[in-house]
Amino acid sequence: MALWGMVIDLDKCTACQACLIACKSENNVPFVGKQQADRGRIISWLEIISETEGEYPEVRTRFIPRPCLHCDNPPCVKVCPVYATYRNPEGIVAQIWERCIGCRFCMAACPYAAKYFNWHQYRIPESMEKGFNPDVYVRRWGVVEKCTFCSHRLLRARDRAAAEKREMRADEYVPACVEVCPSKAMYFGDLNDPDSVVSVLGRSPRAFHLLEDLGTEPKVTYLMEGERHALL
Amino acid sequence: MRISRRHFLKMFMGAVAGLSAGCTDFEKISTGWRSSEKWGNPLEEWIPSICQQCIGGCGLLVRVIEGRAVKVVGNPLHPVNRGGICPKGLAGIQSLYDPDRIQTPLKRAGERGEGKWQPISWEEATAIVVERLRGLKEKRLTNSLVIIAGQFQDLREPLLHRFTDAYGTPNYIRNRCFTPNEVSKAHFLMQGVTSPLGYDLMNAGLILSFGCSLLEAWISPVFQLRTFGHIRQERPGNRGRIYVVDPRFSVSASKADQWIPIRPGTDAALALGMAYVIIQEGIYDRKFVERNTFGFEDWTDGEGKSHVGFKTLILNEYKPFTVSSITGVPVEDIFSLARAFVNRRPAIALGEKGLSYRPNDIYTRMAIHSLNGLSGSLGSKGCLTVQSDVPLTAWPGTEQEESVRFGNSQPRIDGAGQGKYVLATDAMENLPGNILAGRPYPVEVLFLFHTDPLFSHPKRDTFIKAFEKIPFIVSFSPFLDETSHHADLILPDHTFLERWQGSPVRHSSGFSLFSLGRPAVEPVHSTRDSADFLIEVARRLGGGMAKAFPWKNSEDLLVQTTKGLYHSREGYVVSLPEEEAFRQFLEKAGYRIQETRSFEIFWDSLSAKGAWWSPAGSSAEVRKLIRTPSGKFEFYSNTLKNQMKRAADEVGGMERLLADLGLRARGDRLYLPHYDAVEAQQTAESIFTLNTYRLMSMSGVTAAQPWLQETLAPHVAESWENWVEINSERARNLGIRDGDRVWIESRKGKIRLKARILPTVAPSLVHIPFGQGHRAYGRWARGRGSNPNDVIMTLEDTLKGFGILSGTQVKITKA
Amino acid sequence: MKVGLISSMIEGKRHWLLLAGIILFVLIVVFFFTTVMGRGVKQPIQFNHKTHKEQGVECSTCHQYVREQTFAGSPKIEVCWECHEEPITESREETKIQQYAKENREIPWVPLYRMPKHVFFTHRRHVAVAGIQCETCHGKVGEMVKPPAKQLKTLSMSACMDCHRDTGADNDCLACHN
Repeated sequence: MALWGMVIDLDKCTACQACLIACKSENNVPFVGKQQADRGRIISWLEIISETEGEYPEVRTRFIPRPCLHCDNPPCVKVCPVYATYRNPEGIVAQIWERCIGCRFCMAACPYAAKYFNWHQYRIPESMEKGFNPDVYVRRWGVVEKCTFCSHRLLRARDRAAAEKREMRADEYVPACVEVCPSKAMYFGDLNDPDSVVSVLGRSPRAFHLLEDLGTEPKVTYLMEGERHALL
Repeated sequence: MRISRRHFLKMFMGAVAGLSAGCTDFEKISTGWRSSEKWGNPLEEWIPSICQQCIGGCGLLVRVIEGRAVKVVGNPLHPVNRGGICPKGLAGIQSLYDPDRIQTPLKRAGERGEGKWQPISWEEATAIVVERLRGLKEKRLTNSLVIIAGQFQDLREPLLHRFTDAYGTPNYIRNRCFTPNEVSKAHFLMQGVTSPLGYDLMNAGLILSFGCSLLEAWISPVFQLRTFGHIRQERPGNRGRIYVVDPRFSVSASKADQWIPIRPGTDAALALGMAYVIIQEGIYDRKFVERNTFGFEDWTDGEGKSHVGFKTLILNEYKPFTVSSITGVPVEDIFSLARAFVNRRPAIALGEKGLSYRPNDIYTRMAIHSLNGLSGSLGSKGCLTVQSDVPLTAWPGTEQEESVRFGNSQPRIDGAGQGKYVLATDAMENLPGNILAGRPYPVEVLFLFHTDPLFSHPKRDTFIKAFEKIPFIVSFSPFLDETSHHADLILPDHTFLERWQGSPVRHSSGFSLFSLGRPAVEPVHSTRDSADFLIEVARRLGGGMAKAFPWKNSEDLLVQTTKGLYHSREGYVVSLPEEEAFRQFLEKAGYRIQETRSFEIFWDSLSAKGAWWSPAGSSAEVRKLIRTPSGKFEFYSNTLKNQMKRAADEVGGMERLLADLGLRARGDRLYLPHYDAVEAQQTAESIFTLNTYRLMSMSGVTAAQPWLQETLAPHVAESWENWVEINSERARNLGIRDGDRVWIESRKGKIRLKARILPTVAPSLVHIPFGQGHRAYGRWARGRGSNPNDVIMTLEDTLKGFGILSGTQVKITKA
Repeated sequence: MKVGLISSMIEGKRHWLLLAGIILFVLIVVFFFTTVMGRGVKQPIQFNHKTHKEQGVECSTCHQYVREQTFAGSPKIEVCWECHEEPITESREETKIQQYAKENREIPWVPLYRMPKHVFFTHRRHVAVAGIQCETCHGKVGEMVKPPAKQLKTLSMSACMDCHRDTGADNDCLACHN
């Protein structure tokens, strides 16, 4: 069985935010409008976290794209009272929308702030609904939502492979953010396969995880900026 | 407790009513996503298209299900973006389905700008336009038709140009700060080339960008982002270096290996200071400089007059200490930059910034480009390269009647190409003033095409007054933007996902490329492809016009035009990288696979895959890159000398011309790269220099796309409005805290914005991003933030004919 | 006694409000059950599944995507047209086909089975790969002379899960939920 994981090379990432919009378009993530945005309620399953240090002219800014990190030891799962969020056998930390009661315990538990609450039933003009992705359910008011690693794409890729009576290849399943990355800074694949690109990159000396010491064991690995290493 | 029967029934009924009401509500919510009702047979298609959210020319694939476009991704086969795409491209779908699109042709019903419109039919609209144009033709006033076109790269550009040409008016005016499909002025003046050059960034060892926002909004953003990833970690050999010279700590600067903050407008001095180090240390490419350049050493002309060479000028005037005091860049940085530029060859200096660096920035551009000459960055891998022409079928020639020739021979209304605008291809700055003055003649009809000068141009007020003078204004905008509000007739165009597109696009690399886009969906409203409209109008006008537009419609135009690609026997319809590698291998060995047996098959393949390209064009020899009369790379530009002489004759003497241009240099320096001191800036506690910039995701056009409004920038978490970036210490002195509202005031006007206090901002500057502050343009864009154009003083870069959008002195006060 | 109670209510005029309430209540319940709960589906053509099946027409002839796509697909007019271009029966329903074809539009079939939007269901995997018969989920539609107004079998999550468990198919939430 596969274990899905992602690698983001910060040396290649340009903070262009294409991943973010690709995610919104793929997953029918609503825009919330000015009023809600001012209250910090923008829903964006993937965010670019920026951090600046120093004073002009000696400054340095880091940009880190942060999807749900799909922890192997996910704190959000432990607090969910209704088993709406769980870690599936392939490592995807899923959120079953119809089961969620909106208690937001998971939002408090997630150290990466990767979960978002639907404060309203966000309605968009009818004409714009035509642009919705029919593959993805639109979450309703009172539900917590999050990155799913585009698991609906996994379902469909596996279905296509099954219909053709063959095994699904790992490269047939790619989340929307990885698919569009202009500088090809994001990689996705099976961590159980030691030869997959994510496994190889994961062994790079540049690799690190966000808040590693919390023991959440995230499956999104970052490669820090700097010179290439002989491994690749 | 005793419950009476009546109570019980009441309670029960209430509960039932509540329950049923609840259920109805439930039903409503679950079907709230109305469109999903119709996904009965969701057979999907992927249709190739071209992104028109900026001029980058990325290939798209549109996922279409039951006639709806539900997702846009990059076309994996397209040579510009190879499957990548930027946030603007992804949000194109929101422009297609925007509820505020204009749905039918509109005729003005009230006063100009009052906002009262009467929907009319396309037939009526066409008749109105044809009648107007015919009337002008009869009166021999064809030159009083003006077309203002904005920033786009498409076959529509030559089509519009042809329209003006065949009708008989010289007034095809582009409103844009960026001219990627024209040759860079520095390349023209120093190398004599007349079509745009490419940069082989993918193979460069060092990219030194002078203010070009390489990773945000330069020529072809996705191509540059792909290049960035490639040179950093993908290609074999050294990890490429990117150095960014910019007054602002942009995203490009923060991702670069080194950021060199510089005093605005002094880029020329820095480039020449680097040249000093390179010459002084003798590390320039001697072979190249000796063989292929002109004007490096002192020289004597045919008449025995001696001239100052580039070397002498630099060694005398641009000593690192002098340069450091001008630019604010530390001396050791000038040395290390210069050495890196030579040591990390192949190196490219990019001086093709969109906005002007400063007044008469042609010298800045030449100064930056002279670095490429010094390091011999021409004619080899990782250097400047030729972008070969796309072998499209030439359009049938136009036979011009006498009246058309008469119209075309009139001077341009904006004065571009004449007098002090000698080097400008368009002079938007001069346009409104000339229209107001009726100079050299009054304008009768104005077409506005993919442009919104009342939003995007600092001279908004003058433009409004000038438009009052024009009897008939037609807008082709799909949205009711600021300028369309002042039109008499609006003929809404399709958005790019609804129409045929053909684009011999320029990107920042060398290969020649033609992209083809099919309509992904049926038109959502009763709009019409403007190309179709122009063809129709030309047909109805008859005569030479009809002959110049022999096509049935835009699809026919594309079919006829791409025949040239098929017959050229070069290039390919794009395919998977492995296939292409194999083909290139065969080609090197001298074989060529004839792919298709007929044009029909070629056309089908092209419209299924979305692009044709000729990768062979990417490496070029020196002689192809240098087309000056002397056959040399000219540090001393004879072309500039000739152009200025011609202009001097037009305005009545060289001194007069130099005074008009505000140039202080005299003699040989006028034709050499040099730096003229910037006027001293005011200093006061609350005075700052305004620097404007463009974000990756937000432009004036994309402001109507809500996803982008909530994803404005990675470096500040702002949404639905713009902001002003202020240095931490200076803000503290003014008592301004992060998030406060402040007034930004210039001599022209004032705007109110949210202050963002950032440690990355230089103390003397404030930065405001463009794109927000629309007064119209639909519900998502209107009234979001303020438009920095309202405070930008109309300084003009005369040689370029476009306003300078940075450098205005502003006063900041807490609101 | 109850009859007595009601009649006494009717007799006593002060109970007229209560009576109106009861009638309203009944109406609401009827309305609720007819519209929200058990709204029948009326198809544009009274299609006879049985006759077609007897003529040897397979389910997949008309529901043509059932083995290739996630959805089965409602019959397209070309498919009808292949046999019914010339009238071959005397049915009044058949003339409707001619009418739709003349107007050049598809027959507006009303979907009877609709998966909730948070569920991903794929016909091809169940039919083409697993070889499950149509009747297993859809009941004996093939024996009906009129199109069913209601689902013959109610599809519930537990039914899905039972079958998945029995056949050893994946029962993980993400195997079906989007």
